[in-house]
Amino acid sequence: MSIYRISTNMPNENGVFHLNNREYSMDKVNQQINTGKKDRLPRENVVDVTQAMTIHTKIHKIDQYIRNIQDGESERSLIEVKINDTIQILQRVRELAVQGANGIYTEEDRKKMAIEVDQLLRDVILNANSKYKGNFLFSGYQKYTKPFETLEGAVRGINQSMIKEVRYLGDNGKQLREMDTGEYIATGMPGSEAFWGEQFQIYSAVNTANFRLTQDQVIMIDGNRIEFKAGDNIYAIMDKINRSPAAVTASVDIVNGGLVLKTTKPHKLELADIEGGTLLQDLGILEKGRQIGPDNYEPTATVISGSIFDILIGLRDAFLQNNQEDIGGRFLGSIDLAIDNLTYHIAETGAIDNRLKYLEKRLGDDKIAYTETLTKIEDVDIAEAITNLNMLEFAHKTALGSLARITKTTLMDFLR
Amino acid sequence: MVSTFHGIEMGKRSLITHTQATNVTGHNLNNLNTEGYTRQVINLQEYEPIFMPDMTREERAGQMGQGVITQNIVRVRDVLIDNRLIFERKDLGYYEIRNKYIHQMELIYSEPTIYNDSKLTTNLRKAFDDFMSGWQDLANHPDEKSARTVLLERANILTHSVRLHYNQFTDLRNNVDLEIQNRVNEINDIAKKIAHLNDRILRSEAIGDNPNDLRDERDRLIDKLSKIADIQISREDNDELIIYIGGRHLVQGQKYEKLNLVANAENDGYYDVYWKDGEKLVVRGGELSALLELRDVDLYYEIKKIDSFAANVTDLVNEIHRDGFGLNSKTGNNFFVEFPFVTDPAGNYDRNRDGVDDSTYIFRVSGKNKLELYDKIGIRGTMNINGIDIAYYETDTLEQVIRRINESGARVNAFLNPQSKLTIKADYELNRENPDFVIRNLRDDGLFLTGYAGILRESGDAGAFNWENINQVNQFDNLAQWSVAPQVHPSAYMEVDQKIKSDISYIAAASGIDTNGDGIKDLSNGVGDSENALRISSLKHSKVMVGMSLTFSEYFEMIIADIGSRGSHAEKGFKSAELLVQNLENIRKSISGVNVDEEFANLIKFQHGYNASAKFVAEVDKMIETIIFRLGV
Repeated sequence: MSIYRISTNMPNENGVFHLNNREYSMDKVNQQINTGKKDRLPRENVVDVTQAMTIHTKIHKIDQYIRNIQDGESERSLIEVKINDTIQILQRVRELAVQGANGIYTEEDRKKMAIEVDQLLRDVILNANSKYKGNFLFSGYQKYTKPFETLEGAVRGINQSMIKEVRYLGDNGKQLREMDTGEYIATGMPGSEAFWGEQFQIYSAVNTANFRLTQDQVIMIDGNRIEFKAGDNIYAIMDKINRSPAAVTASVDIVNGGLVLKTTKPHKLELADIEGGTLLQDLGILEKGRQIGPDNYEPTATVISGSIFDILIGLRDAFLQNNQEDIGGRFLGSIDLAIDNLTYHIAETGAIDNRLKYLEKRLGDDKIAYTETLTKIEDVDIAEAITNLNMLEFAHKTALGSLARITKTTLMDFLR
Repeated sequence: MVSTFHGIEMGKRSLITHTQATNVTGHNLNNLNTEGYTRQVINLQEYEPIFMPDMTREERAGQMGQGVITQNIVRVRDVLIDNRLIFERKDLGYYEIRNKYIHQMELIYSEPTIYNDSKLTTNLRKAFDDFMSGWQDLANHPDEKSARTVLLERANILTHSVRLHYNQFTDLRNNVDLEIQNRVNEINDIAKKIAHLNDRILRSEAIGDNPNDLRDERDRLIDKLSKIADIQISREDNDELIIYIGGRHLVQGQKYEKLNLVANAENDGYYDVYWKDGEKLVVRGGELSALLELRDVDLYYEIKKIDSFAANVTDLVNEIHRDGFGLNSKTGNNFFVEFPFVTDPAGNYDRNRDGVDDSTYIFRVSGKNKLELYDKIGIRGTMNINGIDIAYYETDTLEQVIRRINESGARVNAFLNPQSKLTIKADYELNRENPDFVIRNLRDDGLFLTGYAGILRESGDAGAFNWENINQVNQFDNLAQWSVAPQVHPSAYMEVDQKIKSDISYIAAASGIDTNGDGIKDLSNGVGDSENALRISSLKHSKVMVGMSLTFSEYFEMIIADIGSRGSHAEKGFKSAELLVQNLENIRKSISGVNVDEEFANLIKFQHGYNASAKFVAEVDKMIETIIFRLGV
């Protein structure tokens, strides 16, 4: 810059210009120290700022997933407690069954055992109707509805009112929670699965030999949607049901040619004709006009339910009728099946528990890693900032001093 | 023979001249701190000597000098530097304004967060993240009312934040418009003043004077003007100073043109600048240019980005929400209010306001067929979306074709919705003539949009969708789904639907089934089902934002990165223009600025000159006295 003549105001104005710039820098460092963050505006470092945004969102998501896991975990552990308790109760029932099968006991003894079984039955029902955070634990999606409804009445062999029937009024729904991106895990267990002992079976009375679909239909088994096309015969229908993800097998009864549906693991089968279809009603599985349940089975069909309550009621009635053979034979076997199923559920929830714990740990580790990265990107190094501030302060003081000196003397001071 | 009083006249002349010189020095000293003052220099000249070579000449050695006279008083000013400054100052004006306003825009977004405790952050991104979290928490307890209360609260925060952004940007835009009006008035004012000064300066120069202070005043006004707009100056003709803006005369000598402000209904009533004859003003630099650009480009599109966010969130959440069931088992309800552009459910609209519907305003259309993203499509052809041809080939995967559509510049976003159906959605337009969020043309000479995706009924021109006709929804396949375009500026009115606000049981967390085969779900799965809530919260993973198929989070990042780089660019432009102008000003001051020491030295000089002349006059006076009083009776 080739300026040889300096006008009087120039040093002053230039000085002020540079002072302003330095004060701007000092203010920025001051802000950094106050907030602990490097950047105040996106323009200061676009890449860092957008990266920080991404990581904030990721951490937010991880926090949510951890919350979901902990929530699911607390539901699951309550389920585990209740099922364990039920296993204890059934162990006692088994003892009674073994005893009662023994010939040395009298009819009177067996009556007493029946009363105890009835009591134990009520305990199981209490477990099955437990609540979680104010709503029912074992109702599937129908959380406001009490899952197991009892019907009491007169029973042959005793003079007091006993439970005649226990019906499941919930559905098979399992509530999902998102535990990781795109990972949905169900921690619940509907009562129709938990408190079942034997396979559910339904035998239709309608002969299906010449059955053929005239239009496309859709049915729902345990929440699985199965489609059928016009022209499908009974074998095509069976095939599609067997290939579906539902835990059920379809077959045709050799005697009456009716459709038979059996579950492959013990639970109550949820059947529905949806989207205007009538297939299951036409096949004599569901009652006409009741496409959706619960308990919408065709009255003429034979239903073998298989719930734990059915087993216990049966056992108790056998006690009351002094039916030694059934006690030691059929019902003992059924109780063993029931205990097996409950034990299986414990193992199942145990596995889910392991998975949740693993996920929680992994998410926790991820969060730590992200937080570290975030700090490196976002946060200011206080030592560095303070050093900068000192440097600027020093330069500032020097500049102010210099400005003061050169604007002092003019020729005016030396004229008479 | 010189006259008796020759000496006294000469002395008097010198005294007057030296007084003048002292006054000029005094004028400089007095104006030490006057902004834009050019120091004046007096040029002294020898007075016309005697005698001329003619008959009346004295018979002595000549010529005799007659002393000193002022030649002229001139400004010390370099026109080249002036012209450089006029050229450079428009960049300073442009970037200074741009920097200021983009800074404000950055502040509105509140990024990056400066709090370590994330609960204290209040920006749009956080509001959206929390809103999505709210659906997750609801999915954990779909049977509870408390989870719904929290979700409603978060939804309100989100909609409030969206509206706040819209309002703040619109506020800024209003401010910019006011500044534009002020600047234009200023230009008119300055032009008038310069024209008057031109007149006075011309008259003064005609007599032979140097109207230095008037010229200073004119230069000050020109400086001011050069920051406001990109002016060019022509000093070629001394009698007529011409100032041009955008290639047209603003000032020509004593004449000047006025600029007019005309409100533009197509641009939210903001003002455009016109010459008197109706031609639009063209500015390419200076504060005015920056303001116009900020108002009509930067802020205009920034608002559109927020609109796009609001429209998409509303549409996507509502689509899933309508499918679900509330605690009260009611279905088919919107979560956010929807104000369709037209009340006609088929989107028919009367665009030219002649009383007859003439256009179809559709925002989004989804096909009927379920598709797989990585399947090869196996068909070939060319489709046309919004006037852009997009070709597809047998070996393309669906994913490739979708990407091609998104990158085509057709201003639509294509993606597979949660039901695996191809969805095409319109985004905001870059061309002002076309409305935002409206699909304009869909045509396919092959089978992609027709048989493959199930959007259009027929191929070719007969099956084409053209927004400039009515009832174009009939061109869609029977089972395709579509939604009407939203009203202008969806971010201005984004709000949770009144039904939900008054009864949170309407919030649909559960999914359901279709019992009667009409394609619409009518029976809830139950209060414990969380599937619908999970579907809504999975929107945060979906790539649904326009142009580059981004998730909502990525869209925010893009917005912030964009404004951050604009801000950084403006700041750098400002700083470098500031420095450049500063340096040029220094050079100018070095030439034209007053140096106090210099002036004092001159003062001493003229003082001595005055004293010398006075002494000379005294001597001559003594000499004359001798002649008058000593010679004679």
